Amino acid sequence: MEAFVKRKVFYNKHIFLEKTLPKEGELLVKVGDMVRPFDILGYTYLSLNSKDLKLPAGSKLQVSDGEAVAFDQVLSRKKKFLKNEEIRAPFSGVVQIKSNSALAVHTPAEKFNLVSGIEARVVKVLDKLSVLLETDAVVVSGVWACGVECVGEIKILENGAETLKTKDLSADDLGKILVYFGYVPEPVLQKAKTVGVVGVVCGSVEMSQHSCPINVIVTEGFGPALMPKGLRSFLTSLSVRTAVISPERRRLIIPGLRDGVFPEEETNPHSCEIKPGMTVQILVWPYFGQEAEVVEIIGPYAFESGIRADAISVKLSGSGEVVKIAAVNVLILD
Amino acid sequence: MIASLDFGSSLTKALVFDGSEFRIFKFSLSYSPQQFSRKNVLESIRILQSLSGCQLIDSGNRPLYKIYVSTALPLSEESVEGTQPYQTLSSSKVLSSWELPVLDYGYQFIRFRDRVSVQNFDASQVLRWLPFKSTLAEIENYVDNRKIYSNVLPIFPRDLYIEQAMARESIIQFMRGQNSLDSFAEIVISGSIFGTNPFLSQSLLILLDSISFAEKLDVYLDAQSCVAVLGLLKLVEPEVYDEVPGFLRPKFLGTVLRFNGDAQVTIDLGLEKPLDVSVGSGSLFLFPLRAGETADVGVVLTGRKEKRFKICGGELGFLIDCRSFPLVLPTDAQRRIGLLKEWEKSIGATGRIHEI
Repeated sequence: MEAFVKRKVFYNKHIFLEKTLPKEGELLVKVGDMVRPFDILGYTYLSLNSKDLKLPAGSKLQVSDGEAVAFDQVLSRKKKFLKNEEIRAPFSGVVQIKSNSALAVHTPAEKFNLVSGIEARVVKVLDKLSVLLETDAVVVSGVWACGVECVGEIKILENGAETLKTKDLSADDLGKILVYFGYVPEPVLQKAKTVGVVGVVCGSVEMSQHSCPINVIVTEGFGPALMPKGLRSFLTSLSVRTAVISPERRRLIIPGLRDGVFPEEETNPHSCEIKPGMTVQILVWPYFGQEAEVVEIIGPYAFESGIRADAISVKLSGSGEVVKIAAVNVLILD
Repeated sequence: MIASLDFGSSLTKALVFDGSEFRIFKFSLSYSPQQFSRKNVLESIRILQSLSGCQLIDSGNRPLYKIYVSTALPLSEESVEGTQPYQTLSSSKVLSSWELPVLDYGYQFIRFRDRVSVQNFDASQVLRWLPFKSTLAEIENYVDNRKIYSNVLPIFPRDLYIEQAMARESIIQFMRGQNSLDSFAEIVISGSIFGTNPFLSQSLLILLDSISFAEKLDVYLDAQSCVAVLGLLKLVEPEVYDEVPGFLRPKFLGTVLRFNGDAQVTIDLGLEKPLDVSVGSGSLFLFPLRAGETADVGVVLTGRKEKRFKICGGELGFLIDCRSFPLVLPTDAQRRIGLLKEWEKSIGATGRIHEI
């Protein structure tokens, strides 16, 4: 009787990450360069605030293109019988005249530096805009993810419970990747966004978070479930390290982590024979996500629903209860 | 010597014919949905080789058997060393090669005739088919975990009911887009829920709750989930297909007669006296007419002339469905649950158990 092996942490020699400027600028690296986490790959100038304004028909411009304006300064004026109609600057900045009826005000451009964030090799430089980096990394693979690629410092959250609460988040979490071993409800994800958290790595979330507000990697599934013990202790060891959330491939990437022995990443999980004493994770309710120890290999068995399948009996790690479960409904924990 | 494989999202079904014996295998490359790539198909062929003990390809990936593969989606152009030892066909083309319309239900795709659609379960609609109280969150979590862990079996009754409710809602939504729904009088049902359902009657009830047809429908069940691998053979090796043993082919479950209103039914089995049965509007009646037996059935609806049917027996028998279709379920939870339980009871959810 076989089951798939659930392996969550891998080593990958060739991880590629694209770092992109928000708009065209100057790139300071070339192919073959080695970069360190705080190295600047390139820069551009960005206006952090900008507002488009429509001008009423027949109004006369009071400023010229490129002119610096102060807050509340009159930009255009239309003469009317009782009171002139005026458009004023919403903040101090520079005027950009777009047409006879539209202009924009931008705050002065500030320098934006594109920081590497990881130790890597430059393998491609694309059109004054982006740099492709290659590195080796340890990868934690998730089962579901959302959002966009992002980088941050890992912070482990522990509250002694299996569900994260909004009060567990604070202003200190700004710019961090929060790791929580259990279940993260939707309001907590909303608050994480408000606080300025970069991303969340957790055991489980809820379905309605498909349109979730923040970058998320889920390692177990949907509905309350806890990460397996082995994964919890590995993630704990990553505290304050810089990591990358890559939602496209449902991975948390920890570049440059070379202390430890991790298997190479596999395309498909491998299976092996289930034996008594092995630790497994259960994939069906009411035991979803729970770890258990295999007690006995039973063989063909008629379950309560009427379905016949190969069965094993397992001892739940939390309650110690022994239950019968279909062999296809478990994963062997590596 | 032939191997035909249906590379599905959760399982690969395969038929191996070594010249003397037909054998069926089911396996998966992962606990989560399989990626449709050439590399994975080759990996499946290697697994099939080890499961069957037949050498299907040599060390250079050259075919030693004729290998045919049907896939729901085109395979990604991932580079694979050596030659491609198999011929691929789209599973829609394969399923539409059957003379009977095939409804194939899976967790990733649903197919009927040559039409295919990606599954998108609406949890709020799935809820209405459950004969117990549940929450939207429970169903949403179940549906989403099912997409991740595609091979799990519903070993608890609650899970089985959720799976069946998902199937009902999915088929209803999918069939809404069909034209001339009433144009078929026979159907083959295949796929995960129909293949794993422990009771034949439950499979039939899922179908009847979900599809529209005109008065008489003969239902076949693909209990071995191998219509695709057989369809491949039918298309490419028709002489070999003719030799496929009966137990692998779809089984005749029975005939369903559907009427709107009260029905007086006379069942003549050729015995001394025909059997008279009243089937009330909104209810179901299952008569266990065995395979090989026939019956002359007369049906009189209130104020109408008698209609006569020649009915052949099947695995379940024949069924009179006097519920008005499409079914409208009560909004009151207690009444709705009561009605679902009544329908289930009336056709016997304790029917025969499939061998899995």
